[in-house]
Amino acid sequence: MRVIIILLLTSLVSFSIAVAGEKNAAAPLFSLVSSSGKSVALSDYRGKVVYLDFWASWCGPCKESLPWMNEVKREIKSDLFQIIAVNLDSERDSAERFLKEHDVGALTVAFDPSGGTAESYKVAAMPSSYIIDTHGNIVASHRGFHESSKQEIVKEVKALLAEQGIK
Amino acid sequence: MKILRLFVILFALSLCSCAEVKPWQKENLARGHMAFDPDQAEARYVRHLYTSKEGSSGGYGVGGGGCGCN
Repeated sequence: MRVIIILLLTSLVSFSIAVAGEKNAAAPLFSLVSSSGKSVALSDYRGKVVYLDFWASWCGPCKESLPWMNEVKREIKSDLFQIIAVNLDSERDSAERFLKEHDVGALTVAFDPSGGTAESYKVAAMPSSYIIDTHGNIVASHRGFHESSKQEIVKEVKALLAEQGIK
Repeated sequence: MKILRLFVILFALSLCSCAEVKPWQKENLARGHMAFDPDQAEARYVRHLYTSKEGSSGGYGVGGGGCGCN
């Protein structure tokens, strides 16, 4: 009896499940619409370093994270680096109002009101962000947005770009 | 009768539900009037008094208000 219990416990421990939205897993593909009506599909970004951020107009930290992301994109001008900000507001108006009030010109904003894409990335906090490499794999993820995240994110992105030969 | 009572209890329990709220569905919880403490400064003061009196802390608040941001 004891042997069976020990065997069961060890087998549980040895299971390792690769879950979507976790490090080094393939980033779930999506196809959403941008504010200009154009299609934003992750498959189009193969070969680029993507910073994917899930935000909403009602999320406090997002008031800081979006302008900051905009600044980062203006600083890292390379076309190989793209930022996709996926909005999860259930009402488009709230999102549009937020976008008018904050400078987000350098970002690609896409809308996911039903939350299907967020679901596929297993978003567990608002905001959440994922850094996707040129092969379409998630190499880092961040839950929430903190002052300490800023430097870390820039470092991770620059490291990926350095692999592509971009300073 | 015992079996009937058991069925009634089980039926009543089955009527309960746990609605899972996804992080991106917490828009209404993020509103000001949904926060536990509307006045942060006063709340911090009261919390400090409580911590001093009780000699313990915790059991309050959710990150970023009810919306769970950060």
